Amino acid sequence: MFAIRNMAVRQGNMPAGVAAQAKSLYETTRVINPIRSALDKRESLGLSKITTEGLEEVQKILKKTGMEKMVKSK
Amino acid sequence: MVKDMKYAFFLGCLIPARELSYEVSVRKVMPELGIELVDMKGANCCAPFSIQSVDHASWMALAARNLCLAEEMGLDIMTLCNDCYESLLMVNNILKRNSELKDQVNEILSDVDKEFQGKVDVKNLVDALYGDVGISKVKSAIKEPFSGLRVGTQPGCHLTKPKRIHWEVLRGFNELDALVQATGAESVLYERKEMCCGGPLRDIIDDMARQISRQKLIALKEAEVQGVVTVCPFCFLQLDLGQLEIKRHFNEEYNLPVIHFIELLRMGMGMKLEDWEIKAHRIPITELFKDRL
Repeated sequence: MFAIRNMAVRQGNMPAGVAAQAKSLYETTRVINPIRSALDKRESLGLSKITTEGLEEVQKILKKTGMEKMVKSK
Repeated sequence: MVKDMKYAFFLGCLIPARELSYEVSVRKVMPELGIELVDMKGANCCAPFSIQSVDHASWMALAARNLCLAEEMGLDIMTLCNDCYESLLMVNNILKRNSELKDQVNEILSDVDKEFQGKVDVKNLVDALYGDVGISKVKSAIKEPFSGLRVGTQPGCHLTKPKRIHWEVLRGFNELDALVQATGAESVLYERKEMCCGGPLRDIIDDMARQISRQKLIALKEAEVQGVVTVCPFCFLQLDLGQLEIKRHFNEEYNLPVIHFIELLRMGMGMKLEDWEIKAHRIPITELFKDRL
């Protein structure tokens, strides 16, 4: 099943919502990112900061697997 | 298992971005029950099943990178998100069993100086509460039991998928029901209990996602429950916020409060939710829990 989906994606067929998640993952390491108010709330509660630590490694991985190319072509 | 009662805490993307009240309750309750959570610095997205559909190798490598971070910490992972749980658990199990795939993933990870060794396990909140803390300790932590409260449980389908996918016995309906009952509330059997909330179809086939949630809400109402208890952040969103969408699309109101199990436990332990946490519920919980808020 996943092999077929992967083939479909390679041929340019990717639902918009999934493409947005893949792009966000490549650019920030996360598929869902907090809005400003959530970041402020986290800070006021003393919760750990949401950072892009690890981004360089994530991008290296996605470059090596070829997913970088798929994300950038969308 | 690497070490009892101490976990590498994998937060994922959704909870720290949208469900802070879930995270806060876990951070307050778990230490009281003897579980220490250590944040995983530099973790990436889990990655979810949507990424599995885009590129299988990327999905495995990204999940394996997170597993490597936990291995470096020397701790098993605990996650709150069902989607994260499934990805991390599946990749961990696949790579522990398939040396060829493990070599392929480690070849990818070698570019970032990481190597998957298969030294940790992946658990979810129900695993930790039911398996590590135990029902009797949960029960004895309850200072204000929820006597007479009738709820329907929604563990989320990633916790209840068959053994053939996860290779091991999964915590699911029975364990969450037992935890709910340890608080003094009654977990009511309802039709479609095993059904998905519809959340995975959001942003893909929205109409179908809403229809699935609607069917579930109808069944819950028919069972005359007073609220829904979940451990899954996607089920929470789909059934809580989703009720407002259903009202707009179908002109139907269910007014069924949805609550994370850990919030129920927190209140039962005598800890009050703060005003902003109460307001994080789109379907008000104030009437249901009026004596405790």
